[in-house]
Amino acid sequence: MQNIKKQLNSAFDELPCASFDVIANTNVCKMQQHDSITAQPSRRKINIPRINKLALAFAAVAIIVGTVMYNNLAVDNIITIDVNPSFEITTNKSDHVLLVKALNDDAQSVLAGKKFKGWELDDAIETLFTDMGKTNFITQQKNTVLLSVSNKDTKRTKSIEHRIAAKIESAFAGTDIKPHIVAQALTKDKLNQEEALQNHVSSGKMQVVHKVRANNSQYSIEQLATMP
Amino acid sequence: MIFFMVVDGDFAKEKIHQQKIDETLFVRIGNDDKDALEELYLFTQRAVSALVLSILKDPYATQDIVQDTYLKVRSAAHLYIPQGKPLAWIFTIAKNLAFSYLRQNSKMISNEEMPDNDLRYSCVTDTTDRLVLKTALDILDDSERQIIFLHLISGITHREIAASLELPISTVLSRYHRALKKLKKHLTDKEA
Repeated sequence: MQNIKKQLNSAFDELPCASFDVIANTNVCKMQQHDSITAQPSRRKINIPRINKLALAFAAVAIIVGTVMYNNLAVDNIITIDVNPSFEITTNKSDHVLLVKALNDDAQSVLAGKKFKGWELDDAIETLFTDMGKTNFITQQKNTVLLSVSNKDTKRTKSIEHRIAAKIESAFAGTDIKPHIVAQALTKDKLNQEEALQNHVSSGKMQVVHKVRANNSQYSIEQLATMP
Repeated sequence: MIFFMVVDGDFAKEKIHQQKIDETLFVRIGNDDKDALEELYLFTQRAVSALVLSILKDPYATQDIVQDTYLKVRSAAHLYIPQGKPLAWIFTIAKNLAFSYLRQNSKMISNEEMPDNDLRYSCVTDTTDRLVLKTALDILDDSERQIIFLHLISGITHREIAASLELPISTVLSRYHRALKKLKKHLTDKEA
């Protein structure tokens, strides 16, 4: 980064520069009023009685705080990723990351020192997968990714699945790794979440474990949870 | 008042001075105070040039538009109403002039990549420096380019960029990281 900064600055320093003498010595006409180029955002004053002003201000603050809280702090999507490592990503309505949680030790080693809070989901996904490629958690052979998305709106669930899958693929563009992505809609289920927590896997993987057990109960939950 | 960083012309010295623009400068400029104009120019010229270059991608057109920006500031300084965002006002003027230039010259400007031997950049003597600058201008999208140039060339903080470009800080941060990654990858690929 330091090199890019240095080279960008060196190049910039050699570009032609606006002359202060020309700026200072050219005759200019004082404008009578702002035009479309110089216009500043207006700060109109409306005459409102003081008590109404207070009520309006209070209502505005309540609306703004409510909207900001709803849009920025409320969880909209829960996305789990199992490679293994396993992660749980929560995002807000505008698809900015609220939290990336490591669900096992491998995930912890990938996340070490990184904070994704406030990042756009696409960038966080691309960075996580680039890092997993570098640390050989994903290779040509170990290329299966279980992607589970939970959102109340099924249309949005599908669109997020597609977006994330595209980002995962773009993280490995130009490499020999071709990720095999298995996507599913994740249904919220408290029991499922608790079992996932106990077995250090994501609730997405636990949902798959239960689907497998529904067809074939010869394996225990613990056995299936540890399978790649 | 606004805080921002001015990067010394001699980058090797890595001298970064934290300065603030005094909004009363505009009153003085409105009264034809040359010293005030020079102070404002020294504080802001690098940032304004970086912003305009990121829009126009042409150093000579940038030179003209930056000049016009300060001439506009001189002719409208007495009308300036302090709102705590002096840099944002100068940026608005620069952007309006740059976009107006683009509209007037739209037939002559193509969005294709600039050829490697583009003469407009022949003034940059070091080939690697030239390559980095041209790559940034070629491969980054408009918003990424503005953020990268304002932060890396002008030394303006992400928070200030967010305020001046009216974007959320998280968007500025993630676009900055994405742009840097894109730039690094492209330069590494070119090297290979």
